[in-house]
Amino acid sequence: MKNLHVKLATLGLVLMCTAVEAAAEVVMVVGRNSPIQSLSRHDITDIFLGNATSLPNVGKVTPLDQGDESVRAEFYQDFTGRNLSQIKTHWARNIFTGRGYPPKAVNSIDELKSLLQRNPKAIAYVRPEKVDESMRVLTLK
Amino acid sequence: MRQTLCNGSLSLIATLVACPAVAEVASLKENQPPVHSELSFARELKDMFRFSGFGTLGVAGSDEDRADFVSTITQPHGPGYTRDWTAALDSRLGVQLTFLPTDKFSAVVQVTTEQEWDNSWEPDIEWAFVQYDLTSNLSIRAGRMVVPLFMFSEFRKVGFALPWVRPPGEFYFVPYHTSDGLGVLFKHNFGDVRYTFYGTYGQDDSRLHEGIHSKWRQGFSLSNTFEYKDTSFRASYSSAKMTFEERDDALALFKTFGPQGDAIYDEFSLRDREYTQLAFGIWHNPGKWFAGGEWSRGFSDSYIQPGDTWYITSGYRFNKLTPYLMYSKTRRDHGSTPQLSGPPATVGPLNDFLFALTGPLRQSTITVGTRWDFAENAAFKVQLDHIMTEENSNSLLWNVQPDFDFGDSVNVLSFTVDFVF
Repeated sequence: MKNLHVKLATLGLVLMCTAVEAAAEVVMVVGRNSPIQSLSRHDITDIFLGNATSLPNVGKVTPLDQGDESVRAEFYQDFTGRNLSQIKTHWARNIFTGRGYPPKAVNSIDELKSLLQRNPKAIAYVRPEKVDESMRVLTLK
Repeated sequence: MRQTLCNGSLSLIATLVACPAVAEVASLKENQPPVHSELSFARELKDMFRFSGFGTLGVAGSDEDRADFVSTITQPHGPGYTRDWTAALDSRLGVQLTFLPTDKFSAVVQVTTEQEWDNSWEPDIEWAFVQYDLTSNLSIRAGRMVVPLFMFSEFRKVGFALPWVRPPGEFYFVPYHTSDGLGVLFKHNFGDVRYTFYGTYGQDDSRLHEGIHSKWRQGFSLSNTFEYKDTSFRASYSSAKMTFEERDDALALFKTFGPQGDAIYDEFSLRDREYTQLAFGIWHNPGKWFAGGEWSRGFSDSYIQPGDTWYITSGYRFNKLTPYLMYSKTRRDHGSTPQLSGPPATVGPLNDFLFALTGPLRQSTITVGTRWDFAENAAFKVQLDHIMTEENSNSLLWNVQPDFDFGDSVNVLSFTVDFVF
């Protein structure tokens, strides 16, 4: 019974967020036990571009990139208005001045799930159809 | 080319890398049960090291055969007088090893190889520092670091990170880029405005064009950047005491000409002379296009002429192609150039030398080019620079032959492939 509730709740969240983010090709997700509740688009841009490393009341967060180029391209185009070359340029400026490295990239949905489960402060983006009960979709402020 | 202090920085880093205490602290932290689950992102030894690199393969040609175009003050020659086409103007390679044993501590060593003053490609240490994050917003650094003179200074060699083939010559042609000493980084958000401070204090020893020993002492640079959405504004202040050994030795010859020569030497002596610079920059990049520029004013009572330098640039992105335009201009002048009076056969060459050293420097360049992002980590660029020299002025051209007419223009065409890995 409890399981069913969770599933329904997840489904509800997924449907809700898909509706809210109808235009977006990706949704932001965290692990089920994550203390991260909701984020603004500005927060997400800052975290994924390395301009911010922590969130108020949460602490240090860990962004996760997608190894899949098309998903990654969609995410950065949607949130930053930049293509992958421009994102690479941004990171070249940071890496070669000792200011940081891009998010770790995950190469499979299983790896992503495992990382989200192990690290409640990890944030990732996925295609909506990849969301399952191990993840919680973040609402965007 | 900078042997004096790099050994020190290297051994410091070697000690830290080898330091068992650091490794122990790191492993202790990671062997704890995953109460705080971010620790379960165990930082294994292989994750503590990051290896990255960048490079440019380029070829450039000039339509001028009486003077060379160069892109740094170190290069001995470039396309033009020495040869029509050269790969040495823009080609270079850089590799970087970053050591990240804990969340708070890091060490970076970056080595670059490019054409040096003596035609060698001897590797040079660009960065070699250890950094400790006191808080998430405040970090301190010790070692060699690039001085934040201008907006693009810190990554001026990383072609892939630049919209153009190279930063504008009029602006970035300075004899001083790195500092061995201390650095401070601080960031703070004022509402939606992100503020970043980067300050360095230290000294530099390097070899310039013709092997000149350049020494900078008590050099500090304070850079402030304010970013709001897609716009950033930057203001910086830099100062140092400079010495150019061989140039000063040559200038000392003037002392053999009595009081007038003494006066000239005293005014333009190239030993421990203060140079100060203010620079402002603005940049806007919403993703689809960019526009920006920088302006700087130099204050000096010797050698490097005081004056203003600025550039403006803009580009528009058509998917993978980003054509751009730039205009840069420098006007530096001591006001009057002293002349030694005496028999022309004797004082003529000395006066020419003095003019080359202290005379006005006026030059402007129109640049047009395009960047093609043909791969995620590589870009091809083609760029045309139209360099306009002025009469009764020096220029930033090298190996200028006696039959070169100041006032003439020089065209330089460059093709580069920039990559990062």
